[in-house]
Amino acid sequence: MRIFGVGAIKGLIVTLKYLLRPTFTTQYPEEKLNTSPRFRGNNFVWYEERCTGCSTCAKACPLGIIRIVTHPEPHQQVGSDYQIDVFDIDTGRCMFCALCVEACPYDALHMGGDFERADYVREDLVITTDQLREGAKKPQTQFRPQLEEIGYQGDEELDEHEAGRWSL
Amino acid sequence: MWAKWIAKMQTRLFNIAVLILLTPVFLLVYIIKEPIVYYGSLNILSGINFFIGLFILVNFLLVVTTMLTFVERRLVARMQNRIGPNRVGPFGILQGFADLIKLITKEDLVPTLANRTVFSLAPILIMAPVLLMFAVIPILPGFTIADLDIGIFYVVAITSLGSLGVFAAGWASNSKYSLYGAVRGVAQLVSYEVPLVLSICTIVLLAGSLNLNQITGAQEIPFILVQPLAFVIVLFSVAAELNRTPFDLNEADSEIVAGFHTEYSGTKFALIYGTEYLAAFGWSVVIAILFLGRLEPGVGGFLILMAKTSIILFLFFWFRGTWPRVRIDQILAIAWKIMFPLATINIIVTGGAILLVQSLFNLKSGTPLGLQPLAIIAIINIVLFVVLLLVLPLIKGLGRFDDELKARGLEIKGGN
Amino acid sequence: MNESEKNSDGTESVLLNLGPQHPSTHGVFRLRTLLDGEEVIDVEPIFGYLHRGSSKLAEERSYTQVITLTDRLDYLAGMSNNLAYITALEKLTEISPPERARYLRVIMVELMRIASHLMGIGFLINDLGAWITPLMHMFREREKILDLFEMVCGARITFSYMRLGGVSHDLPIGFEKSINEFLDDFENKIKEYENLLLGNEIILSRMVGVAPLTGERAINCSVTGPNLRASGVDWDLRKKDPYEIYDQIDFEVPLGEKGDNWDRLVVRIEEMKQSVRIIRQCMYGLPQGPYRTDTDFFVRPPEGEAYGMVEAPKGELGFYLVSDGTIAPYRMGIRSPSFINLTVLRELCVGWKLADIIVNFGTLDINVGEVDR
Repeated sequence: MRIFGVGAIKGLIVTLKYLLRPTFTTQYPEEKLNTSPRFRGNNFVWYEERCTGCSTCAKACPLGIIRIVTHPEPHQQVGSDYQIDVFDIDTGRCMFCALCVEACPYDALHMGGDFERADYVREDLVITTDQLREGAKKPQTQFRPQLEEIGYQGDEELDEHEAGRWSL
Repeated sequence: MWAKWIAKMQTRLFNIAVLILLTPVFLLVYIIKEPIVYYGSLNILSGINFFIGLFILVNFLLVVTTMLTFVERRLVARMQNRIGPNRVGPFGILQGFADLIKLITKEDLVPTLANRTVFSLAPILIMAPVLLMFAVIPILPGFTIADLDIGIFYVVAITSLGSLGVFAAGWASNSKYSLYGAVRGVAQLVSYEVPLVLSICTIVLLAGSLNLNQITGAQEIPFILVQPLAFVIVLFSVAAELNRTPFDLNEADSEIVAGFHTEYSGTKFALIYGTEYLAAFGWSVVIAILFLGRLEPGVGGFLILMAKTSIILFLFFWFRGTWPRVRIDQILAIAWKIMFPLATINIIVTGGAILLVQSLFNLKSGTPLGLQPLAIIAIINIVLFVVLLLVLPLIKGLGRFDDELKARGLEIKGGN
Repeated sequence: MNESEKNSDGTESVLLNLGPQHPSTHGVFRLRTLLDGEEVIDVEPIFGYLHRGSSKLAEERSYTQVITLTDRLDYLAGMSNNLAYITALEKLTEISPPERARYLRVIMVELMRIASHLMGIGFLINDLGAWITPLMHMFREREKILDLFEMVCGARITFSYMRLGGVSHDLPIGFEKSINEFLDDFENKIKEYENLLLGNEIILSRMVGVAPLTGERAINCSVTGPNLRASGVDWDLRKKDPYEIYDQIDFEVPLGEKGDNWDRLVVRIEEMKQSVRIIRQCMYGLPQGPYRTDTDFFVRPPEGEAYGMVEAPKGELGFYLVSDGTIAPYRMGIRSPSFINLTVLRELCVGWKLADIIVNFGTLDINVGEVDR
């Protein structure tokens, strides 16, 4: 025998139970969500010693925002690195797809994990070569299975010998 | 050039008038004091105490309105498993005041083709009746601004003027969305007054008087037990009068943007928005007085009355947080096909029960009933309520979903 | 539609523009409606406000770079878009992925189906008027799914997870535990949603019997997806034309009967339950092995054309690729389900009330990003 209105009252009881449960909200400036080690953040980690200036990352980028300017040494040998003058990444237009990170053959470019890089001036969103040279070297493990094998969680700094699949 | 200056002054003067002077309301009550004396006994304090009491009351009401917006947002947010606003003051208490200040400092837009005079007058027409309603309600027990013998009748009559304001707002905005909201609004408000009045009639029959103080005095047993069906009908009729979920198609966010107050901004919108919560508070106090037992004197009585009001307000917020809204033709169908017959049955049964009890206990008509007669009437009404709950699904047209869904092979999950 | 035509009782109809700026049309979308009081006489959808030129942009990007474009078509179901494109590309290049990659793809796509249906149902109930309460509950579940995706591929909405020849990442350590926790919790949550929604008299009175769509009419209008199955037609690409490993998995396809709003809602809830079943079977039978075959960096498929289709949460999503031997496609065409399902909106709405237009639009589960591409 079905009483009129029982379905609606069941809905009310569900809501009443939620009134007594703790909330799911993270109060942002005081608490922050933990991101996973593979999270694609807003900055990049670049090891200059590993980079040869081959520009594969620039070719792989769908938007063409990586700008690389190199010059050869006076007596450049075949197969050695170029000297890098400019290595800029325009994060104002970047979509953080990590195709550049996937493309790098020397494991020199990695994704960073920062997500709080908002700025007031659009030109300041371009990550210049100096910022990349001096930034904290905490790569994410996106496309870098060797870092996951050693159990790296993204909290300490890695130097250029540990960050790649083969040493320099 | 003059027209622009006049328009600017109009906006500023409007804001000032709202912020400082709710004087028209005070003056109105004072002015109409004289004629009311002929229609009932009057208990207005004389002299300067009157204005002080009135000032405190109106301020209390407005502060309660702003706090209610905050309380509703917090409650509904907890039902949705999130925290509501908690940044503005300590624990977010000042959120209502922040909203009020923001609304008052916003630009007051009047659409080009709108009827300026009616457009500006409509919020006042919506707000004033609700403020006037508080003249007969004993917020502080023993103190009413006007202890009218026609208390509850005055409340219902005054609040029905609100539908005039709704229609004026919708029509004067010169927008199709507003027109839809206004037409739906007036239809809904007018339809739901009938079951409301019929159910309040049964309470009046039981108490023997229209005066709110005497209605509370006659509640040996709280009337919610004596008249459960009337309580449910009054609850849903008041929800429809206030344009609250599940009957809030007028402010339906999804179709007609905001109904009759689409084109309003700034102070005018603050008035309309505040009226909804003020009316909710007012009607909750009235329901608490009518149904939930007698008032104790003094400050303790005031706090108990506020507690009872909070229960009814919590019910309104709970309904808003859970249920979707009903379509307009279904709203009107519910009013005329379900609530009106139920209210009529209720009044017939209660009238019969009262006559029976009066002949059993040899009481004269017009005197309030004692404990035992009320208990007998309570038992009769509760039996009626339970029988109706079981019988209603069997009526063809109400329980149709059961049959149709069973025929499809789907059971209604969660219904049984 | 001619708005100055008189109705049968001599009144004129009202032309109401549920315009592009509206609190509840799921995206930038315009509906011109002709109303007689509250009844709807005609509905004309006007779209194109979100057109971003995906097909043209694809002609200037290499095949791997186009994957990032496909994420953004139906932005609420990115994995399915990726899979549809990769299916087309694999037909073109005839490279097949290893077994583990197939299982991973199915797991991700079914998780995406749950997330998309949660959003669809949540916004539908929001349009009905329950002030975002069920929506918030469903968003919480979707947050957990997006956290799982973040664990795997690093992003929450624009995944770019699938690659030609496999997937881009393997499962991280701790994924199995998280997904099992999530699935156990989710089955309880579905029961809670059913308690909250399916017995409620208000929802019943607004959805049962409203806007029915017969099976024959649905087939003639090329409707696909849960809308078609709610009308009683047994057509699911996962069963009729199995791709990946769907022929080895045991699941049911829920069917409705009359095709009204209630059936569309219930079919989606049942599909979520079936997705949970599929994911459990896949996680149980996940083989070891490589997750990606080696391909060229700039792949050059042989000249030809291919059409790859999947059962996306909203219907049948298909990609048509024409290649001329270079690193970029010569032409990419997209058959998006929301665009085709939209054509049936007029039939559903005519004769019902104004308040039903938005509800019908919500039950069709239309994503304007897919309509406009």
